[in-house]
Amino acid sequence: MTDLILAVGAVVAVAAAGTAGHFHRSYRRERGRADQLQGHAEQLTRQLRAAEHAMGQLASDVLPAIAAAGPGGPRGTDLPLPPPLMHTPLAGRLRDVAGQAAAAVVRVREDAQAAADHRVAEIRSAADHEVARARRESREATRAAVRSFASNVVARASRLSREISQGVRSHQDDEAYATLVHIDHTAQQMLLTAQGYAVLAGDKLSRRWPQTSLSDVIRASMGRIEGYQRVEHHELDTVAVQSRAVEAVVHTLAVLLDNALRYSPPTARVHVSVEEGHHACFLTVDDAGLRMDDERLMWASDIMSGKDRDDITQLGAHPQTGLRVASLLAENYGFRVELSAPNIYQGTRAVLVLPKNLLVFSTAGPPATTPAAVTTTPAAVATSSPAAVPAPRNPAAPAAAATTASGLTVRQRPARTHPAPAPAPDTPAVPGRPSVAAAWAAGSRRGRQTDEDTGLTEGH
Amino acid sequence: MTGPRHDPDMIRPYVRTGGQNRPSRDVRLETVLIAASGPTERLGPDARRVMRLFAGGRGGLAVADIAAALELPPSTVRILVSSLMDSGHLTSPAPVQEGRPGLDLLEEVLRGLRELV
Repeated sequence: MTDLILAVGAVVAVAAAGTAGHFHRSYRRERGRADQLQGHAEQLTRQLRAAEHAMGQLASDVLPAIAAAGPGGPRGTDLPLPPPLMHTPLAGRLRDVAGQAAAAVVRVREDAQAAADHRVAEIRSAADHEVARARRESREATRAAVRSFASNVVARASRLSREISQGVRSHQDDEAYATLVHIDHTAQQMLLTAQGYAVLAGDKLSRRWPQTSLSDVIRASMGRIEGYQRVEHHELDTVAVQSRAVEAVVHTLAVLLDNALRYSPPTARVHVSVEEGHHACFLTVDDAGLRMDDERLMWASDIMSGKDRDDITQLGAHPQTGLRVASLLAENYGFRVELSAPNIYQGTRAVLVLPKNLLVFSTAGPPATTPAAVTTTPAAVATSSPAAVPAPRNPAAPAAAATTASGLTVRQRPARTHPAPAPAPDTPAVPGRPSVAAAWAAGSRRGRQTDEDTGLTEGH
Repeated sequence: MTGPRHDPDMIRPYVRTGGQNRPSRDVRLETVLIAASGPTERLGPDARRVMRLFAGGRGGLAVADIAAALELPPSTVRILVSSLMDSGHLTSPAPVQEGRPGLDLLEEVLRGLRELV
């Protein structure tokens, strides 16, 4: 029984030992697997942390950097990867994300740029259009304002100058005359300026004159400028400017003279010469002033050719209207103005070229260049000069003689009217017979007092 | 019409007198002038026109008549004439009482003239 018990015990022991061995092996195997699993889990945890970190970096640094990159797009999309993520698929994906984000930013930015460019172009063209319209409107408005103002001043100054002319004729007092003449000079300059602006604003010249000899054209222009005393001029009475162009030529010449006087020393003279050419007459204005430099000559010739001329809003802070007006008038009336420098006085030369179709040639007019000849041929004077005294050279026409008071003198002293030639211009004239002269004077005065119509005018 | 017509007011008075605004001597409208026959080339256009009036073989002319003939303001002519007197081209004889026709004669002449008109 004991043995049996022992045997059973031994069997149980062996079985237990076997079982224990089995379990021990099993335990060790399981333990190894658990360790392996734990290592794997730890590696995954590290990778997860690294991924979180990388994601954080992507979100907080890399993507903002890409978004904030300047023009030309983000430079690099390099995402610094921690070692646990090296060579993992996740690393590739993360890099792809960064790359795609950068590409998207570039694309969006390019689209936005293109859209903005398009919009800017649209706005710019609209703005240009608007500016052009505003400029056109302001030009029209300025033109209208200047025209209205200037033509008003021209009209009033013309009336003023007519009234002054009447006043000068009716007032005999020296003081009144001097004052009126002084006012007149100012009014004429005012007229010149105002008329210049009127022309620039597109107005027509309003003043009309009969056809006028070149000599008188020159002197009429001199009346409109300051410093006319410094102008020295030739004369040409046989050539006249046609009525329609007189005011334009006078105005243009006044402008050229004004320029010449303005740019020359206050003591220097300005010379106006008249040449009769085959196709045209030339009025040449020479000053001895500062010659126009090349730049200014270029500017002037641009103005003369019509460039930068017509826009009244582009005159600048110190408007120089003279040459623009001259250019406009020349174009409108068919003459030419040419400027050159230096001239013989080292100054500037302006030439007014008047074509023959603006001129009238008269051979019967008094030849101004030979006044001495005129004085010896009374017949020529009587036929040509409107100022001819109604001299009844023909005694057989008593009706004509009777109309004038001075006719009496001629009949009384037909042979002694020519004073003896003076030996020199500065010696006093040889007097006539005083008694007769005084009688004539008294008679003529009385005649005038009793009959105002007994004038000597020819009435034109 | 032979020559260019004149608008007397186109050329302003101060241009005609060369800027001189007063006569340099006492010249009145009724002052009678007589010309000397000197050269006139150097004179201005209006001075020459004045001198031309004397060239028709006539004696004296009053300032007023010159003004009327040239259609110029009398004051302008007074200045022109005074300059011509300064330069010796014109003289004004002093009226002499002796030899002066009496008032009766002048009135007679005037009446005769009126009848002619």
